[in-house]
Amino acid sequence: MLINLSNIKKVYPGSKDPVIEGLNLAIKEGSFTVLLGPSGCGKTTLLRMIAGLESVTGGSISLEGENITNMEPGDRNLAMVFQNYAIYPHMTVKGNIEFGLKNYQMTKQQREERIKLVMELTGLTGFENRMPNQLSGGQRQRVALARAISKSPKAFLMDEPLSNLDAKLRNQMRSELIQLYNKMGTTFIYVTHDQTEALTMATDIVVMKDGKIMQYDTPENVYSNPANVFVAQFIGDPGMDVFQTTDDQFIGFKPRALTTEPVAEGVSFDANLLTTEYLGYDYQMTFEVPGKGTLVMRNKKKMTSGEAYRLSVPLEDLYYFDRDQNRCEPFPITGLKEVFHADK
Amino acid sequence: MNSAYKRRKVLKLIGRIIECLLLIALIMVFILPFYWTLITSVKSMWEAVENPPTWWPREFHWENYATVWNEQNFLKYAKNSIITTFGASIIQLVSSTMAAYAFARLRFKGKKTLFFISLADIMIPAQVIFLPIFIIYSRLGILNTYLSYFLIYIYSGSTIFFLRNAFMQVPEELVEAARLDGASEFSIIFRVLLPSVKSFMITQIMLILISKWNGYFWIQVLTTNDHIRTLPLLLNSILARVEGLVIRYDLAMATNVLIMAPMLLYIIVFSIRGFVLALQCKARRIPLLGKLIIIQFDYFYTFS
Repeated sequence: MLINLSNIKKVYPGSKDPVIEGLNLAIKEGSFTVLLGPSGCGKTTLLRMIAGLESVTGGSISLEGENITNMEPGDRNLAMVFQNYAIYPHMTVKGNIEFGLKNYQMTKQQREERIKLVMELTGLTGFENRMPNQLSGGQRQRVALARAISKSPKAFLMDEPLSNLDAKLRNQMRSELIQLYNKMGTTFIYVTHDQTEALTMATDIVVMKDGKIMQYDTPENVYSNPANVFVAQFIGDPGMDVFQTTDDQFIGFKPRALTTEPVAEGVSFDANLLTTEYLGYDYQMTFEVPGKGTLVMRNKKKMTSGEAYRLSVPLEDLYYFDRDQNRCEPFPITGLKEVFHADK
Repeated sequence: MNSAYKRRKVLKLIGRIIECLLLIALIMVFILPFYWTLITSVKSMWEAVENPPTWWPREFHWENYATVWNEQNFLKYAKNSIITTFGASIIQLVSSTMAAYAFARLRFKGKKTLFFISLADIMIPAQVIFLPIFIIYSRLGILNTYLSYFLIYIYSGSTIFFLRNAFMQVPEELVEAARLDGASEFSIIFRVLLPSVKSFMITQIMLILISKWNGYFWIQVLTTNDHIRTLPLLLNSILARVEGLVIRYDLAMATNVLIMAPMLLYIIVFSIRGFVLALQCKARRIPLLGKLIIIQFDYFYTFS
């Protein structure tokens, strides 16, 4: 394990309620671990505590077995890439990278070599003497990456580094980040609220909610084997439709599992189609289940709004959750009470 | 259609003329005191107090400058002015920068209370506290020393306030990035924060230097002899001297010109630059009058 967080507690000064309490997490060496969750779930706070930018109220953090809970950020040998790049506006590209290296007492020759290397790695060669305001958003992000890489840190911490880029550039940078990760083999800890980023890049995903870890697993498992109702509804585009049963347990299914065809074994119910949205690959339909709430369906076939349908889910596509909303063994379904939304 | 266009053009021209007249009047208001100072400084002792005044000296008494330079301990006072101006300014800037950094960026107990107390300095006029300070310094035996003057400026609520606000404009991430880059607190202040607010600092330094150079009150309070007295006090002693019922306004104005010279030069250089810059701001579409008012206001502000 590279980083071990044990029994972490965080209370912000001036507030009584902890943002994070009793959190345990072990981040594997060489992994691309993504902390994923809705805003306010404590993922950024967690990352900042690892970086040393935020104090830890309780518990301890260790890096390669060494306790770093109260160590200065600059002594931890971790590098961070910020959401708004945070490159020094008054320094050239080279100056930005060199600033940290100077603080670590590197000789001029060592610095020059290191700078040349990271410039090549990030495709910035030729931009050494540019000022940040002469660079595009993507290039600035590269400078931030180059600065982080130049320190050869034990791990890279990234706080939503792509959220300031436009969609096209984001996709491109995403692929470059994956290439960079493959080339370097260093641990990446990456915070995002964007599940696409998480699913595409991560080797491990930590899904968080209200300062608690809801699931810590591979992207595949997080997507197809959600541990609880929250993960089931948070992951996937859109997330699962979940019914609360009459005995207060839960069943869920992916919107693409819904069908208008009758099924031999499974769940069926009547619903009125409210809206149909064309999404390119398929359509997204929003249904109202009379007296139970709304749910969505994904289908390649266009359906007419305002009409009533009988929808079914095959038995093998059902996910079962107990009264505490955790995944459980299949149980006999007594009846459907209402559509459930974990985040509401 | 055509006549409406013509009328609009005429109206525009009239507007332009009014603008120019206002401009000239405004310039007169600002230039007149300087002109008056300059011509009086080369008038004779009697012409300087003549009524009605002359608008151009009948004869040029350049020797007024020589008199001031030679006879009035001018060089000693000038040396004091330079030492007190730069010493106090540096002390004020360094201490305020560090305090402002603490208020803007560090988390500690009692920060709000301390900041409020530091703001109180802006609200309490010097005239209210000079007496206790005089008594304390006199008991400490540091009256008539540079130290006493520097101690006054070791703390400045307004500079702390302005610098803190400037520092707070700098994104927090920049400081955090520096921290992760292993930078010390001093390195963060002097190599990350200050360069990020460079233009603001230049203005602050200018204002602080000018206020010290023209400073009168504290030097007056803290001195009982002329050991550390500065040029503005020299001016005062010249004004206090009466020769044959006449105040030597000619000498006083010559002293004035000599006191103003360095700052005036500095400001003229900067004003010309500012003027060029203002004329270049085509994108902002500020009318010429607006630009000149900005420059003149700047001018006025730095002198007041």
